[in-house]
Amino acid sequence: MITTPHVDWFALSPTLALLAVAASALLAAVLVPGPLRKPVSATVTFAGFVGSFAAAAVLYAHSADAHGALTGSLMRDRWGALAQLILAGAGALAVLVSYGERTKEHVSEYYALLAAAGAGMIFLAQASSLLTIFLGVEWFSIALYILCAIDIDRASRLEAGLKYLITGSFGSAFLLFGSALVYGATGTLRLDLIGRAVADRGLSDDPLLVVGLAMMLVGLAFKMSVAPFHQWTPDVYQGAPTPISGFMGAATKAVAFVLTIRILQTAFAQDAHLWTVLLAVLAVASLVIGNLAALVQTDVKRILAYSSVSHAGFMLMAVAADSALGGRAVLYYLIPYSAMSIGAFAVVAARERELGHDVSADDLAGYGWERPVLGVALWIFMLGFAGFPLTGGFIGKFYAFSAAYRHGWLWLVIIGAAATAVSLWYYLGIVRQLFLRSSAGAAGSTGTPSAPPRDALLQIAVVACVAITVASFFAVQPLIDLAKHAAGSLPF
Amino acid sequence: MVAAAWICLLLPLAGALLITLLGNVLSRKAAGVLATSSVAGAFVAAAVAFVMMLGDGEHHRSHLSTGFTWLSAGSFQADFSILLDPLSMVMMLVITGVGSLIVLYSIGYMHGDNEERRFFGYMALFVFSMLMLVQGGNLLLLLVGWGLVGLSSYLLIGFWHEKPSAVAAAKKAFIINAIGDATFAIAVIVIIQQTHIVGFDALSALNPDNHGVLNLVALGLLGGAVAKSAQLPLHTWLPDAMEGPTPVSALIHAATMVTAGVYLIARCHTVFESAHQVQNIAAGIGALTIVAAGAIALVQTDIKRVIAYSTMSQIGYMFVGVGVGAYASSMFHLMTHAFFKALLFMGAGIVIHALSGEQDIRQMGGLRKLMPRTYVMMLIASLALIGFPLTSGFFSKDAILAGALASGPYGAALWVLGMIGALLTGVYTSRLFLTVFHGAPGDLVLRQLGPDAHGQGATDGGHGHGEGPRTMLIPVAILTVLALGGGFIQVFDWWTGMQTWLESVVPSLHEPTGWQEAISSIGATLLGLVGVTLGWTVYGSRKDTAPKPSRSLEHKLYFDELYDRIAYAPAAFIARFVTRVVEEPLVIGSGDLVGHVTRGAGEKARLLQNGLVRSYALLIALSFAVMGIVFLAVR
Amino acid sequence: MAGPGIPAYLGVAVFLFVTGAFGVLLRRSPLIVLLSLEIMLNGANLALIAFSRHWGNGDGQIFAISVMAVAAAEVVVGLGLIVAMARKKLNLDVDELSSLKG
Repeated sequence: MITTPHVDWFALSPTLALLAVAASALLAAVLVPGPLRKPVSATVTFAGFVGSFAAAAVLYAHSADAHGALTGSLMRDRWGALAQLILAGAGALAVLVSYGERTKEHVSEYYALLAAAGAGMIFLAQASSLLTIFLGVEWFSIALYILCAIDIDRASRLEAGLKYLITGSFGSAFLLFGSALVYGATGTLRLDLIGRAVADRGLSDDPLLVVGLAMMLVGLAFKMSVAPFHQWTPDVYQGAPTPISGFMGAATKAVAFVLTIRILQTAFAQDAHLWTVLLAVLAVASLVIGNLAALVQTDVKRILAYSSVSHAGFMLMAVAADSALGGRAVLYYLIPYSAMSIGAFAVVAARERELGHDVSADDLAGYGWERPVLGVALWIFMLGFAGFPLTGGFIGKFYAFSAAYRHGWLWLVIIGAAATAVSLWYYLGIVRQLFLRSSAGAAGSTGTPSAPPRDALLQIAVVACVAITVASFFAVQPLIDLAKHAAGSLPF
Repeated sequence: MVAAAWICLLLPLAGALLITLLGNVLSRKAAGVLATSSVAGAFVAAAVAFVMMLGDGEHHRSHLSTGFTWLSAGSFQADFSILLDPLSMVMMLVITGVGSLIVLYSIGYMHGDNEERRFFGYMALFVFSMLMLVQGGNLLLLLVGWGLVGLSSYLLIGFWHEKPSAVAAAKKAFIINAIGDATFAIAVIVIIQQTHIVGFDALSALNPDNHGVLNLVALGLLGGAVAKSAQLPLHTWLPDAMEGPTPVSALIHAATMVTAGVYLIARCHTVFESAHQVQNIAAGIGALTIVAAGAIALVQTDIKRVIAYSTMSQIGYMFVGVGVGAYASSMFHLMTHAFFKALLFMGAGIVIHALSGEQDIRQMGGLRKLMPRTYVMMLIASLALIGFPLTSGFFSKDAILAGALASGPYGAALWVLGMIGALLTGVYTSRLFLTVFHGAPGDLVLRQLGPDAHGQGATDGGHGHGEGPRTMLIPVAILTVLALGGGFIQVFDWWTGMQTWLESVVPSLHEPTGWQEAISSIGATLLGLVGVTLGWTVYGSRKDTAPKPSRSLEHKLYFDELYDRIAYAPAAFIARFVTRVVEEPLVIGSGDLVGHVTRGAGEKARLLQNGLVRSYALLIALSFAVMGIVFLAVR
Repeated sequence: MAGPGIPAYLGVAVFLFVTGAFGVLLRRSPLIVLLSLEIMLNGANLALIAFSRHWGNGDGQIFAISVMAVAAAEVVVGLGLIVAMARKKLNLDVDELSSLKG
């Protein structure tokens, strides 16, 4: 008789829900007649993300004590569960935003892949062995490569997909080789055992381990789109379907940060003297490059992409602080940030559908008066990105700054504040376009009879994003308590 | 009582949200009615709270009500709470009272504008922000209200967004206010960092021996107050802000927002009393502003700008008041000023309205016969501004001056400046009044209001001529009564209504003696009258020399040049100096120089992003090489 | 019989990884780039298997087998994209994928 390891199906339920949905959506591509394919697969996928969200909520409630599942290759803890809540929420919103996309082919496949990517991320949020980490990273990445290029007739989509594939695989190869070296140094794949081996056997200055750590950080920094590993971000965000860009901006970043903190705190706590300084330097690089490059962009999706690089810098400040406060800060930060990212890209998507071409900053002139709901929403997102009070972005930044300050890095806080000041330039620039410019110049392309009717689902998603952005400011205490309990399950 | 205060705070917000959300469902008229009733409802709630507060014992009038706990970390706790005490009560009544009258007035004034709904939404939002500012139960909420007020003011100044000058003025106001917000925020952060509390009790919890911290905090607060209240050297945004619609000028840039700085200093008086030098600076800034703004007002030709400079000058009096510790007198002047200055703006609005948007006083004249009701009400407002005996401005301005005289030799110097200010006030007020209403009507006036244009007078109820519809005249009439009689709340030291009311929250530092009161009253009144006489001889003479207008015109110009030599030139020199030293580097400079450098750097960053996958991979590989080597070296 | 030690295996693994990396950096055909990426992964696989023997547990071998599956999936997607490019008659040159930049 073969003894099989105990499987904690409950811990896997958020992932399994989405996997089932991905399979059903694929089946729908074959079994459901053409006109019904889109509503059926979209509904199923939305239900899957909602189910996954609910499962993650239950999991959060019942995982007060962190413990391994599946022989320790997954962790069942609140850290992962809270991340899964964010990811599942982002996925559900992305489905709503995607529904109005006017593609005729591969609709079911689109939703199947979205569900698969979500499943991979949700799996990765719990992953706690080098093997599951690599699997999870590749799982969601491969799904995203295809999603970027799913509209195969457009050269820019193809270019984005292939670029993402090549650079992404290049980064993953570093992650894998780093994992191999860490395994070589410690003899185990499990993060907690690696951490114990390093502490017990004094391996923190082992060359294999140190180089392995560096290589793993390259792979993770790539997924977090931290400078100088960020260069794929603007190209891919610009080239990908807009709802997918929003989803990537929110979910990829969220899972990469959650995972990075888990790896660093569990396995490499002994090497904190190395990675804290490195991450601080990378944070500065991201803040500088992200904000400066965003200043000179004209395409709105590129502006948002560079803004996401700079936000990676802000969050990295908190990671580099190497404290429970920093972990809480990142988890809190991700909540409004994900909502703002998806919401902002959703507004761009709406404009894109009206115009039928890519949206430059000039195309937003007077948009706030044409479509007040979307205009005001985008305004709120921009203020939130810039860190204005009355949005969660303010508290997120404040939290990240205070984590860095507690660590004694006043200089980092000052750079962060300066970066915020620079970022005002382009965020408020968009607001100015929305409300203080008349749309006279763009009159030829707007208000024409071909303009599609308002997209109710997209508006619902945008309003939900606004609600999250604003509510995360007012209801900060419950969210911080959530994040605090989640951070309590990692050995800070 | 607390419930009434919450209703007072939230009603205007509800109004703003409803107007925004309902959008086109609401008719234009309904939006105005909704905004007016939400603000008027807030006034009723504030009045109810006031009556209930009167029932409380004198030292039990402070109520802190927590809506919910926003953030708590260890001993640090920040609540969403409102503070209801005599000080915030005065402000609430002024804001909602004057506010509801002005919003009512705007229904008539804004009639026919393309975007009335948006206007009323902004107005309601502004009233909410202002209430948030004065009712906020801790420093953070005060800061939030402070920021929101700046935002809604920005929106309202730039309301006519197709007008480039309005957009520029809005931007300027926003940026200069942002400077003040920043210093204010720094002060709040220092306070929280020192005391770990955000409530107003943190102000008295600061270590009184740590002068460095106290001075820093007080300076930060003062910076915020100076910017918001348009005092030297951060005053330049206020005259430009007159680009907004006139009701906005009446509500925001005369009655409420610009007095927020006075409220801030009164609210934080413990800090200022501990940081004595800073309090003196505040008083000094106020006194300088009185004179400088009064002098500039002498030669302005735009009716609204004259009133704007007059507002700066009057707020200067309030700053002197809070600077010398005469808090109650300052709040008293704040209230009466809200009455008569709002009235002046509304009157100016009616005149501008009647003349189809003309704002240059040189084009006006002879309106007395054509607009008799406006004439009477402007006369009363002007008298109150000058401080004519028994009008509201008389009691309040004199109280401040007496307080200054009572506070010592420094106060006496400020008193002298205040007296000069009284003289200037007399001159520029009579100049404005006489040029607009007396003399021979100009061409424009005749064209718009003369006998030929008659027949479409006051009855057309809309954007036409005459003295405006009833919605404009009713609030004006109420304010006229208040401007005339509002001063009797406090009559020297015989009947100290305001003083007693505020004594438990902001006790005044000095008690002026009888002769100080007397000399201030008599001196200020006399100087004001001298000013009026001076103005009368110059501008009132025009009607006698009507046959030869060119001579009198020259005559007037001569006096303008005289003012220019003795008063305006130095004041303008200061203003230019401030523009060069403060405004250009901080406001425009930040745009040009810093923007240039950062954009240049951005262009460099862009070159790196050449679109080639292989170069992206190369950067990744190189970065890894550096990381690996460094890790191996320092491990 | 004692074969070569860990350093030798690791040396070959690093050699493979670096070769693959240079392939990505230098070659312009997307097919060769995909191939080079596979070589990088295989370098890692070799290291995993060597360490697995060294530590006497099977973890590394299981990892290596999973990596092969993942690599196969990656190649499928990559080839699919390349075929799509060829169908659109685009030049098979990664340097021509540079319309998205700045």
